[in-house]
Amino acid sequence: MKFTRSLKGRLTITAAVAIVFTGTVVLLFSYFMARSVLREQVFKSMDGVVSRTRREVEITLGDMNAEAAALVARPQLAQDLDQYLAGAPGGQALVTELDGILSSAIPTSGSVKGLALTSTDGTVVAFAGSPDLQSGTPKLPSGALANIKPRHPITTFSLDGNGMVITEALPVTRPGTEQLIGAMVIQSRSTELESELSDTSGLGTSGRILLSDFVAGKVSVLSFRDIVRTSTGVASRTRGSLLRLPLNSDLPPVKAARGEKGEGEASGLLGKVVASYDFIPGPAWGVTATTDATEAFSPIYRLRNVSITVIVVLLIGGLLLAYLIARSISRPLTELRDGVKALAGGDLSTRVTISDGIEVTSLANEFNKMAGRLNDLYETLERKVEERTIELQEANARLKELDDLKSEFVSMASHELRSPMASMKMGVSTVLREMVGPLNDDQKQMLDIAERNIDRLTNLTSELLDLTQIEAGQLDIDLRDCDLFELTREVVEADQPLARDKGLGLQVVSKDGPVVVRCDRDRIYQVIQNIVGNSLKFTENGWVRVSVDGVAGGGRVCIEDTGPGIPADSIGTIFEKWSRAHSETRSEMRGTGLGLAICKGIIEAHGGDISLESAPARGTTVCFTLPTRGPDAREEDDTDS
Amino acid sequence: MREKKTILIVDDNEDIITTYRVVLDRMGYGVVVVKDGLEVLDVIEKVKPDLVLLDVLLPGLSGSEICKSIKETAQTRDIPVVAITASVSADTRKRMKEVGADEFLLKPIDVSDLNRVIKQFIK
Repeated sequence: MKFTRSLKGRLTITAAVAIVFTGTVVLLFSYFMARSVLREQVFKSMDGVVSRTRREVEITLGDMNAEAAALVARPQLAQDLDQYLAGAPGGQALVTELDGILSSAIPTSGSVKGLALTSTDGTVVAFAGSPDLQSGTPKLPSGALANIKPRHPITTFSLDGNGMVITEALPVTRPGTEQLIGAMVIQSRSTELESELSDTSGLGTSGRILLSDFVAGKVSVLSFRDIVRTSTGVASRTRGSLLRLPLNSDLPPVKAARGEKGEGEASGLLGKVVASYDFIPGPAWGVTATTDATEAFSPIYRLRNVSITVIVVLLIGGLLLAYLIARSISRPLTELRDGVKALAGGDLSTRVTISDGIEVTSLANEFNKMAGRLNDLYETLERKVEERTIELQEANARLKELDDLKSEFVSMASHELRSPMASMKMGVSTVLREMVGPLNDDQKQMLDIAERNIDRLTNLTSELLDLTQIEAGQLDIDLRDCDLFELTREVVEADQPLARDKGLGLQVVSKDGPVVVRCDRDRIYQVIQNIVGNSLKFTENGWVRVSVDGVAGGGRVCIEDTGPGIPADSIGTIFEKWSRAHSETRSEMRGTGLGLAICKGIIEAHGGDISLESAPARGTTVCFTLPTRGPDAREEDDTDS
Repeated sequence: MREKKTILIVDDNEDIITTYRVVLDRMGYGVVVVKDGLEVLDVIEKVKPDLVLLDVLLPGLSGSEICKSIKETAQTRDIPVVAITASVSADTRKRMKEVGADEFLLKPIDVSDLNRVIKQFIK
């Protein structure tokens, strides 16, 4: 069905239909025209035969009638017959006299075979001529006299050993009355009629001329061409043959005998025939000319066969031609489509060469122009992209250089700051602890301020160092199995003095007991300390509680406080560096804003998660989880799942 | 009366050395200072200190190499070594631990921490 949806298919079908339809219509038209002309011709020629035959019959019978009528018109004949039949004396003398009349009446032409005078029941009273008509039952066609009426002669035909016999029976009435007393039967031959009936010229080899007549409840049909089929085909019997058909038959001779005139095809005893027929009113005979339909219409059949052959050839040739035409139209389109396909597939160097069909060629040229422009545009674009990429790469490299410089600077600065601060711290703390001599209160206060600020600076530098390491992805973690519960307890213990000073409760709980995970003990200590430190710093009343739990695949530490909480708009950025949720007023309370960012970095370097929940006035809870088997194991688990 | 315990300080920062001197002297320890890593082993052989405070970052021989030498020499193996580092890096600690450092102190050193650590090794 794909073919019928393609242009080629549709063109093929359209062209084929056009060619085959036109061809077939023209052919059928001429066929039917020729057929009708031919039929007309056939029927015309048959009609000619029929009317010729009819004329011949009329002439022949006309002559015979005139002779018979003259004979019957002799008053002596009817008178003698009447007397004889009435049983008058001297009957034999009457017969002799009648014989004499008849003998003298036989014409010398010889066409009359014999004469007989009969009573109404057919008994021969007198005769002359052919011994066939001698006394007893004359060999008249059976029933020939059945319908005889006054002034109504009967004419019929029959066959004998020598050919056709025409029998006329003229009514004989009692002189002076209309009463029928007998019949004058005349039998004659007509070679003219016989040869006329045998002459089938104009009808072809299978042509026949038939005479038909009602005789005794049936129709007698006479033909001088054979109408009997033999095993060797159609045999010719020039002496003629006689057939009796039933009255209700639809065969042309029967119709003709019934008084009809016409022409047509019929299926008769000899197969399909073409017939033309007419009624001859005088003798009440039918005359029919027939020919085998096959023979008569053989030019038509030949024409029909030629037509069918031509239609088949037309169909095949038309389809082939249509396909070639369609292909010649669709091939440039197919080539163009392939070009478009290649272009769409990214091959911008695609060009189409089509030299067939003005429209498609011009389309192909436009396509090539378009492809060329597209190619140019693409190349320009590519060059621009390349240029921009290089620019971007350069800019990126510069940025990275700057970033590296920044990290290097921060790292170096931190290191360089450390040593002097270490010296300062040591010196200040040594003096402050009165290890080099007693101090007064003012001295202590000053040194205390100095020490606190040294601590802050030290803290800041180490946090900056941590952060640069985290950001550079270079945070070293020394993984060992360690108990989070124990670690947490250490932090809490260390912070206990601070909590006591502020009047806060500080406790650690674990419902699971030891929770062992792989982690860098010092780093996690740093994280817990940072978070607990934050909580203690910001909580004024209440408590700080640290809980340690085992969770699926690891451990979780939550630090919960009853502090002021964190505004909702700060929670999202709380783990970013330099983020401060509280704008502390006292400078000594101000943190670096790096603590939680570092915590997050450390936890994530362990493959863990950190999260914060808080609501103003309801406190803050920070939770982090660490995987039992460390960061690498977690990655493996991820790939496994 | 027992003899004064001696502490060997390996550091190159003059300020720190001075502070150590003052503090440790006050605490009642004898102090020997070495500034160059290459001299450490010779001095140890001679002085036989009771504790070594070893700064990890030194010019010349590195802290870990010094520590390694001390711990690999039979005569000095039992002398406790406290590594003093400015770095919180686990890597540094791990390396020092591998070469036999007994304890760590993180710069800046809190005097009370120093006291605690020293007490840990010198009774």
